[in-house]
Amino acid sequence: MPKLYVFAIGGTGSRVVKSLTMLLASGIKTNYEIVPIILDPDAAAADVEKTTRILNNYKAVHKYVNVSSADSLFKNKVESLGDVVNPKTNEHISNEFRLNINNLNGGSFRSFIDFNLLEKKGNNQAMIELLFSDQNLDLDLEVGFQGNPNIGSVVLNKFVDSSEFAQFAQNFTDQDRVFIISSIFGGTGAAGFPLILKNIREGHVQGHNFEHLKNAVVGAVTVLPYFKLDGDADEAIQSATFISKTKAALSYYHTNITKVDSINSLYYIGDTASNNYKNIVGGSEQKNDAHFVELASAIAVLDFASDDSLSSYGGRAVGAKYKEFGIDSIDSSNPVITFPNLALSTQNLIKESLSQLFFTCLYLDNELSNQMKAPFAANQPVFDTNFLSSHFYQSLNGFLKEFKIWLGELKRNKVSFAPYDFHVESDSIGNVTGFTTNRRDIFTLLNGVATKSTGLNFFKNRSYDVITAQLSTLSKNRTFISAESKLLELFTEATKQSINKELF
Amino acid sequence: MNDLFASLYENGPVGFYDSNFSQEIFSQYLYQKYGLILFFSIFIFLGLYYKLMDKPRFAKIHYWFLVIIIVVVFNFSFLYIDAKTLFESQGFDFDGEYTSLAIVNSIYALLLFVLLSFGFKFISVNNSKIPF
Repeated sequence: MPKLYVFAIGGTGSRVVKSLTMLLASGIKTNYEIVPIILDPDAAAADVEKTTRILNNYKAVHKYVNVSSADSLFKNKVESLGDVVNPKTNEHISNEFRLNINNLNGGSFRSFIDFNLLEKKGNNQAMIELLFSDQNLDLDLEVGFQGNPNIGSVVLNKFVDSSEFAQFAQNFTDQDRVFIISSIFGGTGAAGFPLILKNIREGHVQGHNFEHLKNAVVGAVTVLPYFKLDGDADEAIQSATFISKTKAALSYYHTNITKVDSINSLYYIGDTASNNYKNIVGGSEQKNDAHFVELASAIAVLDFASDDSLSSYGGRAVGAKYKEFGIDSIDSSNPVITFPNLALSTQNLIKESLSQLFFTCLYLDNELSNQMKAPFAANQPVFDTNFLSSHFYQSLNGFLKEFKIWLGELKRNKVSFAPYDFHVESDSIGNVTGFTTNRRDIFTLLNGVATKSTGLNFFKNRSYDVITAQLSTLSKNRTFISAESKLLELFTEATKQSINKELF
Repeated sequence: MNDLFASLYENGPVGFYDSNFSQEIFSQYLYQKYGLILFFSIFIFLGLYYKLMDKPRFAKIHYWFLVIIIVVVFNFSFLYIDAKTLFESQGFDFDGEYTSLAIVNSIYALLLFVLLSFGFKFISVNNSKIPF
């Protein structure tokens, strides 16, 4: 299967990949194996760490998907660049989704460019001082580029000199595609996107020419400002500069990307920033809540993967497309997005799948332990206590815990994406830890979506029983490869049928 | 068929025999009547539990026990009331015999329901693990 290499640059890149992973886990699939490549100089970035944890759990669960099943939760293969490269070559590159940038081991930008090794007060030092302020030169790269794309473009250039980028180029085929996720208003993404795109279009990596790379179908989402930061005036990163930075970058993109047909499909996504994040410059403390704009950006990746009309020739895109994202409607006095607020095409893409994962999550959390003697659980291969403590189940549980946090964050953010009615739970320092529901019937949890009326029927199954009945019906007289694939197959089908019966 | 049921009710593992009472039951084809009703009622209640109540919420052992109690009470009551009403109208003066035969009937109801559950459970989806 061809591969879609997704370069996720900076914090926004990681968070978009997180949303993309959630969509893939819900069973949405593409015709590509997704290969996320996370680039972030911030060694301790909390969002990167979280996204890689989610991706690793996804991989652990995906291993058990029955390849012959048409639809399944976690169906789309996701692998790291190391997973792609290592089996084919003698090279051994990291299996981590996040790639290291050469020579970036903390320290200042001054030391990164070996400023002090240049001739003292010579022409080269003078040129550098002309381009970079003292503040720029003394910037600690340990926590990223702090909104300075001029620094990012220098540092990230090291990545294209890395063995990882060389291996990516060597293994890239004419069927593969590239997608680049970045924000336009910060430092890392704004610098990284044009840099990676330029190197792909040149097709010249470490002394070798790669025609497939040069003529690759490349898409990108450039995320426009969608949040503000607290305490602007005294901080290294000031959100007051986001708009001016965006304008400057858009102008640069227009000249260096649009006019030269570098990109096949470019998505612009943003929102009127009405939410304020804590102004923390990088590190493990900088964790931003998931945002609907990131989900919309993840949908852009799926849209790009499904567009078969894109092509490139001679290192240029043929018939480049520029797209924006919109919703159908929203109540300005209560800006909450639910499924009915989305455009019909977006609803068709995510409504059912996301709800399948949501109900699977609720069921495994609240009901499976009560149903261990039900036929679907008790028939071979059994769901017993050994299974519940298996690596697979722990990985699935870990993933679903993050799924709940993701949904909780999307709900409490501004603009709020709240397709489900639940109470968001958070810890003492305000981090979302999950959610609780208090409806008797779980099928009434979809905001703005009424359950199908079936009149009075004493024997009608309700709430979790609807899913339990489907699970047992589907498992009767059926064989499964393993308990793991049984769980994935049954829950995919049972939640789908239950949703169609009760809701859509 | 009356002979078959008579041997079951009189000489079976939990049989009851009283010369006058049993003779009247036999001669009026009541063994056949109660035997058939016993079987039909058990099939109806097994179908009720394993088909009509084939729902996750009923897939609990206590619902199965509840249906057994209903079957047992039904078969006990039916035989007791029917036999007593019939014989009293004919001028017979039996006393504890009604209760004894009704107990035999209800024990058979219990045994048959439990036994046939192991076959009927396979027609069910959700209750197929009940009783185990």
